Order: sequence, then C-alpha cells, then structure tokens
Amino acid sequence: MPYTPNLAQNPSESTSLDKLKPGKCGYVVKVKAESDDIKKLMAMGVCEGRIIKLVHLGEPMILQVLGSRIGVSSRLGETVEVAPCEEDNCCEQGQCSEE
Amino acid sequence: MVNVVPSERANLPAKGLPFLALAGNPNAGKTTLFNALTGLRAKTANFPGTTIECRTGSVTIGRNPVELLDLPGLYSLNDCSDEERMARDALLGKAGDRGRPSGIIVVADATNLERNLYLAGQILEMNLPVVVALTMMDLAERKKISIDFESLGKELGCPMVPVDVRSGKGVKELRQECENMLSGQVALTKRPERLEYACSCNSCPFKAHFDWTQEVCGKCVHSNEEGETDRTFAIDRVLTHPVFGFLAFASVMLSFFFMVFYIAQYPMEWIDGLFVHAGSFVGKFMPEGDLKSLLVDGVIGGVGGMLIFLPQICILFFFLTLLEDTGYLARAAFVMDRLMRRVGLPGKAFVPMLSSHACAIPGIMATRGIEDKRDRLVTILVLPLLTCSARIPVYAMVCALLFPDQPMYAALAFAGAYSLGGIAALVMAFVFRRTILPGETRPLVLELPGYKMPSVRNALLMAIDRAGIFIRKAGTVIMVISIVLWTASTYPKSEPPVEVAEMLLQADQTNDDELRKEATRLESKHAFANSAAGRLGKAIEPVIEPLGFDWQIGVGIVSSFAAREVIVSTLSIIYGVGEDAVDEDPASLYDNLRASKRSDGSPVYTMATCVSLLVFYVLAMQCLPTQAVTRRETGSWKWAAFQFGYMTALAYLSALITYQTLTFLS
Repeated sequence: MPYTPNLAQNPSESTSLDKLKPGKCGYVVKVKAESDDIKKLMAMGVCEGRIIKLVHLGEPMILQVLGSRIGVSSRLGETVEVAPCEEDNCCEQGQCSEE
Repeated sequence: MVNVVPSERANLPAKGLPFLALAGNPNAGKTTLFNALTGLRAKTANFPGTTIECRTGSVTIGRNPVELLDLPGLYSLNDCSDEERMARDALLGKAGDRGRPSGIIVVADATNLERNLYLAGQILEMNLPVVVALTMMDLAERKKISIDFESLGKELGCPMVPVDVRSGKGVKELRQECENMLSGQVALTKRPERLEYACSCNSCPFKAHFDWTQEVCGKCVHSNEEGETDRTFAIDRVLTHPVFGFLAFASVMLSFFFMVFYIAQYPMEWIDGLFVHAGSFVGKFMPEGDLKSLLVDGVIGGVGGMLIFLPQICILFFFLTLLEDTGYLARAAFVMDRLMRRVGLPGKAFVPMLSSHACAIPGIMATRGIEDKRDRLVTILVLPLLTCSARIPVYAMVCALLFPDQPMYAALAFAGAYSLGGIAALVMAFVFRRTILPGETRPLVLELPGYKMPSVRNALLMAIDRAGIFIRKAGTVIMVISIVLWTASTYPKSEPPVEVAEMLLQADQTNDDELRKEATRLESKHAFANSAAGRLGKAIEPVIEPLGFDWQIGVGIVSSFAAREVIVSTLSIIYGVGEDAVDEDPASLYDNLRASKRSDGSPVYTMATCVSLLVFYVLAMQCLPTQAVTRRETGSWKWAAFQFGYMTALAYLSALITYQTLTFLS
C-alpha cells in the first residue's frame, strides 16, 4: 500500500523548503522551477509526492530523501514547496527514516 | 619511433561483437562490479564526438567473448545532462554503428532500492533483456533490510541476482544470467503494468515513477527498525560542519597533497636517473655525432621527460579514487562549494587546483569529476597558473639573485610568487565567468553517499587506466614536442669560433683538462646561441626588451617550452658555466648572472629585471606538455591555443607593468 502521509489539510500551510525547521520533514507539493538541475534533483527523489527531511539548513543545505542524503544549493531548495508534516514521527513511518 | 603516432582507437566495441551495457546510479557499486568482471582488460575511451568517457572491457561469457560497456553513473535516462543523452543513445543503438546492446545489467543498491528502481524502471521500458544485479547486500544485511527477490523479480519482470563482489558471491550467477540474455533466454522487458497505469493519469512523470518504486518496495522490501543505526549521519555532523568540516577538509587535503607532491619525488628521481643512465649507456656504443645526440638527448630524453609525469598521475588518481570510494570526496566538494562559488568555480574544482600545485597535468586530468562542461572548462583554463613543481627551480634561481644574503626576503619572494599564481587563477576564473564563459556556476546537487571501506583494487585499476590514457593520448604529442625542441636547439650547426678551436688544440697538446672543459663550455655556448632556438631568442629580443630581458633570457624562454625548469640549464649553457653547474655549483651560475652586463655596461639582472622575470614565470604558459593534456581533456586544440594565448598575454603585460614601475621608482 502506498504510504499516505498525515498532512495538514490546509494548502495555505505549504511553504518553501528552506522555511522548514532542520530535522523536520515535509511532503513535496510542487517543484516550482524547471531546469536541468531541478530535473536531476527530481530524479534523485525530490519531486511531488515524496517526503523529504531537511537535515541541515545553510548554504548548501542537506536533504534526506529515499534513504540518501543530498547536498543542494539553497537557491534550488527554495523552489521546492513542501507541506510540513504534522507528526514528528512521520519520518519513521515513511521513506525518510534515518537509515 | 614511427609507430608512436597517435591512432584514434575505435571508441566503442567493434561492430559485430555482441555487447552488454552496465547501467546504474552513481555510488551503487557499478565500477566495482565492472572491475570484477573485466579487470585489466578494460579500456577507457570517449563517446564519439564528445569528451564523455566510457569504459569498455572484454568478458568471456559462456565461451564467447563479449564486450561490456560501462555507462556513466546515472540517476535517470531523462534529457538533463550529456551523460544521460549519451547513455540513452547507446542503449537505443544511436551511438556509433554497433546497434543496440544484447542486454543490460542494471546495478541497484539494495540499501536504497526505492531510488535505484527509478532508473531501473526507465530501462525496463526499453524492450531489451535486463538483469538486475543487487549490490551492497552486506550493508543491507547490517541494516536488517530483507528483500524478497522472487516477488521483486516478478514485479520487474526480469531476473534478479544479489551480488557481493568482495566475497565473490553472486558473480557466477550473474555470468549465468548474462549468458541467458545473450542466448535469448531472457524475455525482453516491457513497461511494468502498474507503471503503465500510473503514468497514464497525466501527472508528473517523476511522481508516477516514484509512486511505482514505492509500491514495489512496499511489497518486496522489509526493513527492520532494530537495524544498526547509521554511522554516516554521526560522521557527517562533523565533516559537513562549517568549522570542523573545514578543519577536517584541510588536514585530509594537506596529506593528499603531501602524497602527490613529496612521495612522487622518489619515483620521479628514479625515472630521471634511469633515463640518464640509459642515455649514457647508449651513448657509449655510438660515435659522436648528430645521430647519437638525437637518440640520447632527443628520443631517450623525450621518453624520460614524458614518463616523469607518471608517478604524480598514478599517485593522484590512486588516492583520489580511494577518497571518492570512502565517500569523503563528496563532503569535501560540499564544504568547498560555498567558497569556490564566489569566483565562479564549483566545489569539485578544489582537488584539481590542489593537485596543480604539484603539476598541472594530473590536475587537468582530475577535472573529470566536474559535471558541467563550462565549469570544467573554466577550471582547466586557470589550472596552469598555479605554481607547479617545475617552477620551483626558476623561483629558487630568481630569489637567490634578488636576495643573495637575505634568506628571509628570498623566502618571502618565494611565497609571494606562490600567492600571485593562486590569486591570478581565482581572478581569471572570475573574469572568464563574466566574459567568454558567462553564466552562473551550476548549483550544487550532490549525493552524499554512505561512508564505506574503499577498494584498493579499484584505485589501482584507476591509476593504471589514467597512466595509459596519458601515454596514449598525450605522451605521443609530448614526444614529438621534445624532439622538435631538440632539433631547434641543435640545428643549424655552426663552426666553433677560431679562439675556441685554438683553445681545444692547445688543451690537446698540453693535456690540460681545465682548459678543455672551458673550451667545451664555450663551444656549446656558441653552438646553442647559433641554433634555431638561440636565433629565435635573439629575434624576440625587441619584444621582450620592455620587460627588462636580454636575448639570453629570450633563449631561455624559448627553450623552456619543454618544461619551465629548462631555463635554468639553458642560462647555464648560454653563460658558459656548463650544463652541470645547476646541480654541482649553482653559485657559479648566479655569480655569472650577476656579473653579466648589457652593451652599455649596466648589469642585466637588476632588481626590476629579476622581479619581472619572476612574474613572467609565475603567469606564462611555458609548458607544452600541459597543452597536450588540455587538448585531450577539452577535445580541441582551440582551447589549448586560447589557454596559451591568454596566459602569455597576461604574463607579458604583468611583467611589463612590473618592470616599468620598478625602473621608474628606482
């Protein structure tokens, strides 16, 4: 069964990735740009429907998605819109456990 | 030596031979598997018409030879990089004239299947026989991830083989599956039904594929929460930390530099010694004359001058591969990215820049890790500005001339020359980014793979591979250059002046060895000054006069195109102190230089001339072997010529400003 995250239902709560608190997860609602770099990022799993965790905020930032960590320039990170996960333990239920 | 003319090899496997393609995510263990299957029989070549490398190797499957084509590491087969386009073309049979592969081995990291299956899903859509090799099984076991191979195979519609290269487990089974593919026993794959359904609903194609991989993994992969906690995360906290990360980076890179710079000295000395001995050995059996000189100085000297680069190349790539295998290199690029970006260079340019302080040749070869073409080109263009070890003898000579009795100031001048090179490289990178190669540096998207034990075997194979490429692609050009330079400094021949002939005669009669040595020195000085190189040096005198240089320095500059340090021995010959003075008695050379006068009686080596000469040698290209490597790595002589042009202009202008300012001030 595909995992359905428990999301804040209000779409206005979606925010850009860099507004997420480090250590928190978010469900990717949309990636707002299109370039080869964005496509590479999407092929690594940062795309609509995935849950990503912000491991480290800074320049560059570190994301965790699908069991791997990725260093990303913050200007790319800003184009990723996420809905912050409500529950703290959503990472452990879904894909982005700390493994 | 006729057969050393470079012949472009057929880039991809020969037409007609069946071949299998190896595809997988970066860091999924693809190279290790490729090395396990092919070993030393692998060759590196470029995809036709590009500078993208691919490796091919022959494997015996069943009883038949088969070519194995290692595609670049890929996250997807979309259209977002040249590597992806080339890989797609190779799988569709559009690259070269070989048609499509007989089958594809997809390498997938068992600890991260959900992402790895994205690429696998795209490959399954290509209607070819596919076998999936699952790697990192030992890690998966430690993490208590269990995989139901049978149902995974059913979901994907292709055979699955878990492989552990280190213990050799699964390699035999993989070979068997390859044999099945070649004999047509593996069905052509088709797009999995569920993926078909997911893609039909008009949503983001990435989402559809990842929904599919998530579903497949949900069914077939079970991870137990009690698995070993990840050490990678704890280590990364330190290594990507703004302060500690930088300190760790500095110490790792310093040791790396130490290896390339200091350890390589020993084998370089051996190679040098070996060729000197070989030269004098061959010389014993040959009569004096041009043929002997050609063979000893031109050919043997040329081969030695080319092979001398190998220790640094091998050591650099050995340790670079080890660092990359451990996963640290990605962190180093991560830490440096922010700083390097300010001048328009990517974080990955740091290793080439560091290596170029030993020698620009391995440095330029190490830019392969930089993905973006323009980022890579900017890096290659500025690398030769960094002070390499061949400049050190020149710096030492000029600093000794400047400050004979003040080692403190000499050391400062030395350090100043180093910094000038570094600053010039950063400034030029910044300038190129705003002029000929405009656009921002590509933003960082870099996987930080889990830390693991590096493979010495991979590192050794890489070092051998790079050495082979250097010899095949650049070595021949370097050989030709050194023979041309030998010819230029030998011909046209000239009769020794009358007084020298008389001295020789007198020495023979009185058996005066000192006199004979003196006469020989004068003879070679005269011969050199009248050779093509000597005449060229004199011809450019009006051009270099505003820099404070006389024709002797001009000859030195012309002859040092083979290698920068040659100027020191050329000056020794020109000033009649003999070639051996450089090693035996440098003071005699320095005294001679200090005493030399212009036609109006003023000394040549004033402070202004010395500083100007130093600035010139920091910035000028003055190294044709580097040009051969630039050509190979950029794919055209155009960029090599540009590099030569801009560096010479920069060196000329800077030396001009330096000399004119200093003369004006004094």
